[in-house]
Amino acid sequence: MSYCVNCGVELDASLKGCPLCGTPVYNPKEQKAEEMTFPKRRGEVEKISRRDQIVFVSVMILTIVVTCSLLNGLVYNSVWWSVPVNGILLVLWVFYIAAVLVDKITVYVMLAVDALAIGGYLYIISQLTKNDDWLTDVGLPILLVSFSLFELFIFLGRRLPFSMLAGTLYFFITVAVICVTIEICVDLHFGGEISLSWSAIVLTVCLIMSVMVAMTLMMGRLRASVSRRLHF
Amino acid sequence: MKFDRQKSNVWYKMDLSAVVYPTLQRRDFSSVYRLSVVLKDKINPELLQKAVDITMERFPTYKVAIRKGVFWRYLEPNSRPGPFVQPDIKNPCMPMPFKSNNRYPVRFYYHEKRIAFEAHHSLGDGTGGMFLLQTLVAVYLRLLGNQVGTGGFVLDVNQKPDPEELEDAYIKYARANVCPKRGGERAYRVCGTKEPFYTLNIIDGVMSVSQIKNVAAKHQVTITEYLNAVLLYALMQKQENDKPYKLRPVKIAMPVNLRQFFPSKTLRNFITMVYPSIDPRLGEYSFDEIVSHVHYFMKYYINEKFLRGDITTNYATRKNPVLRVVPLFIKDIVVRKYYSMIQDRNSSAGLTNMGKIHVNDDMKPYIERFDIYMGQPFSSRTNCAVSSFNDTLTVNFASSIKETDVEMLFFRKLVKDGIHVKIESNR
Repeated sequence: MSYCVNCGVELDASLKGCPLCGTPVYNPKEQKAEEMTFPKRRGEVEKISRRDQIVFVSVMILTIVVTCSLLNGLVYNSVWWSVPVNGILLVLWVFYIAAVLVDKITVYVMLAVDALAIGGYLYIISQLTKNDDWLTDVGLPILLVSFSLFELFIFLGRRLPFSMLAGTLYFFITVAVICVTIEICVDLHFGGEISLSWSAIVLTVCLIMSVMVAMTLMMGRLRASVSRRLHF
Repeated sequence: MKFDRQKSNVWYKMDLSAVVYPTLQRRDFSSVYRLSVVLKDKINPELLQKAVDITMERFPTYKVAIRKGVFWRYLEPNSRPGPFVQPDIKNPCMPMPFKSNNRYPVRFYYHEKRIAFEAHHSLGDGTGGMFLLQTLVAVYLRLLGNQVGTGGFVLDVNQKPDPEELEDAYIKYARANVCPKRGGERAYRVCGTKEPFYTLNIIDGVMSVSQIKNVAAKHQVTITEYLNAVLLYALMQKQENDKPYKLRPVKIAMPVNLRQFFPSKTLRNFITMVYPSIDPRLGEYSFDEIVSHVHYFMKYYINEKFLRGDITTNYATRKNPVLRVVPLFIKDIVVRKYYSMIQDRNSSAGLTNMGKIHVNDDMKPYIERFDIYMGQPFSSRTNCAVSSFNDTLTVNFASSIKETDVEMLFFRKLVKDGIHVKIESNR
């Protein structure tokens, strides 16, 4: 039998170190435990089939789409109002299906599918309004930048150690880039010249906040002090 | 198959405590507890499955599925195949989605000489679970050819369940003329690093009952009071080491088995919580002062009068006509918010003591020991469960955080008081 030199407790023969303080066990005469006190197999929660739910939601959406199309074609047929309505329903359906299948496809693919659905919807609207300038100048660039930022946000969140502070830093950077992109695209579309106004204020505020958060993240002692003071 | 109309009409209302537990269900959290027994011989899984099939019929409120109504959830008899026994896992008390496991909110595991039973708290408390576990062990031992009688925690599987076993005992005893208000100051919370999903860290301390009894007797208190005091002392030290900006009271959430005060055979929930605490803002507490503080706290609060008042207050909320007509999904949002903002912050750790587990004499020679786990804590803290059998007392800590400071301070204090502690862990 082994004892922890720090805690004074006897340790089970299957333990390689004291689970209380982490001190490793060193006992050259110790016999190997014949049976493990705790099993090695790790349990996983059973996955629930969502087929019924998917069928239910899909049938509901399909019913609304068909009803709207019939109403538009047979009764209220002065304008093609059912196209944007059905379009938004299909976008929501794609969002739902991608979210449900997130375990099978990766979250990056899910976001790409979502972005494609929004892109497709914007294209349908541009065809309906017979004007695609806004789509190429404003719609698609903002969509592309937002999509890339979300992908990057998730990538960083998964690869780097994630904390509330890191999340806050990513959030401020994302907000600043999206706001600046929106204003640049709108300026280019309407006037052809870039002159930042409201987005410059957002950019400044986000920059100050990002620097503060980044400083806190880099300085270990400061970070420990902040998390201690903010713990709830 | 003949359709049994009478059986299909059977359903059970959730008891007063049970309504809260499904509300707290998250993807990574379920209110699941575990009771396990270590026998003297290796478990035979085929016989254990047979024993489970026989035993579950005797416990209709455990052979159920949790269903959603418009205003409340309810329990519905479950005739699907199962529950099935399975090899034990490293991470017990893992989340229990209501639609998984053929909708059974119970699980049975075996490992070497151990049989473990996990149940969702909505079905019943530890005492109800202990009836099921011991009856299961008795049936299993009989299938092995041993003579094991009924009595104590072992129920007769050939008998129909007594209606009293299935009742909501709270309603019967929530009869105080006044609903005492509850004070609820935010308590110190252990700030820990969350482990990845599915991890439940376990540290078991095994010690001698007579040794710990002697130490408790020196302080002129019971074992429960002594262990409560040790946990409060460990939490107080942990708070001091954390050097927080602001000190907070250190509180323990301790379930009290109401069957000791109000006679009931119910196998469902019949517990209420008390919160022994110390407030370090009032000054420095020595261990002796904590022990005496806990002793008088228990004397003052754990008695029939106070407990009746407490359950009356709980029941009054359930009876409120306005609350009753609110749809379930709104109730879920409000209760979850209330629990995470107020109830969960009202205590620093949980401690339950099932005390000495009585086993009928026929079964005693086959049993080595019992273990109880309170399961995954709702927030990043640690839960502690105590039980004893013969001369073995086990203190089982379960947490989902990396740090082991509380457990370390707790066991070091026991060792310092002269108690020999053997540690087992899945870490």
